[in-house]
Amino acid sequence: MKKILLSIAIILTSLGVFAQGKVVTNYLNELADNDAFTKVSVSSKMFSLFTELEAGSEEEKEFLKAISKLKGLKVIAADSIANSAAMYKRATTDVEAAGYEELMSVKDAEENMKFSIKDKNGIIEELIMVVGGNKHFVLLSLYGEIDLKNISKIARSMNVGGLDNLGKLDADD
Amino acid sequence: MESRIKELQEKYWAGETSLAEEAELKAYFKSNPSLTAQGRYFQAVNAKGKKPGVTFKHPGRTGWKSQWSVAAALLVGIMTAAIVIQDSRNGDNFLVEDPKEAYEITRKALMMVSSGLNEGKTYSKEIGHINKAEQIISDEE
Repeated sequence: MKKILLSIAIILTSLGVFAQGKVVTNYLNELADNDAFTKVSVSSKMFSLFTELEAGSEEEKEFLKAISKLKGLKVIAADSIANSAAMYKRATTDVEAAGYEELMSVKDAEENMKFSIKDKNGIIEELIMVVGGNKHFVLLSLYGEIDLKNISKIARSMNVGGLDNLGKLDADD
Repeated sequence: MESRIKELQEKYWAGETSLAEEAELKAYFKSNPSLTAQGRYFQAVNAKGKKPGVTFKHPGRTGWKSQWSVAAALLVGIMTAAIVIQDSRNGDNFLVEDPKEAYEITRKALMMVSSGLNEGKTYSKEIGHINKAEQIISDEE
């Protein structure tokens, strides 16, 4: 009986892991055949490979430190869609409905950006970033153990001020 | 009658009975089998329907435990199937297999998130509002 209960506990935990990134996964499935969107997913196995890399520069050190406890990444991005504002509105509504807590939002004349999180015991387990407007749209989910401090340091160490890489996630870049 | 039999029994165990007296004893016990040890055993056996008085119980699981185990096994099976189905719809069609490519994509994505967080921080300062992200980052620093 104990073994069965243990199995159930393990399975429930696994379901919890799969539940992470669910909002983005739904969009990945929905937009699977839409070539206007770039869609990528980086597995936990790949992240574990990254931890074995040796950092060459200070920037790389910061980067590897920031991703050391991450388990996955899913991104949907587009840089020339007409309905980017509507997509942004829909995605942020879906994220909110899925129980994510708003971390911060930035609104300007051209683009909107919103960060939402799911945390457990003070540890951020998933971060969702939604960007929309000016024909751009990004829906990004990072999951694992997220350290905002380390992530915010990456751009600072590279002196990047804005969303310079937005919509340029294509692997061919 | 019983005193006579008792007397004969004493003589029998002393080896003093005649053949006639032994025949008398034999006839008495044959007509009253319940008075002998063997007779009492067979009487007891007959009284219980010719079955020994011991019954054997299966040492295995009792009924309710077995039912729970089946239910739990079914639950485990259903959940495993759910995981497999969910996994197949988990956006894995877009998994990046090449580590170098995955690293570059992750780097760009993290850069984008990082820039966004910093932009949000600057924006908060401009509008004079401290958001939760800034609070978390500041707390850690």
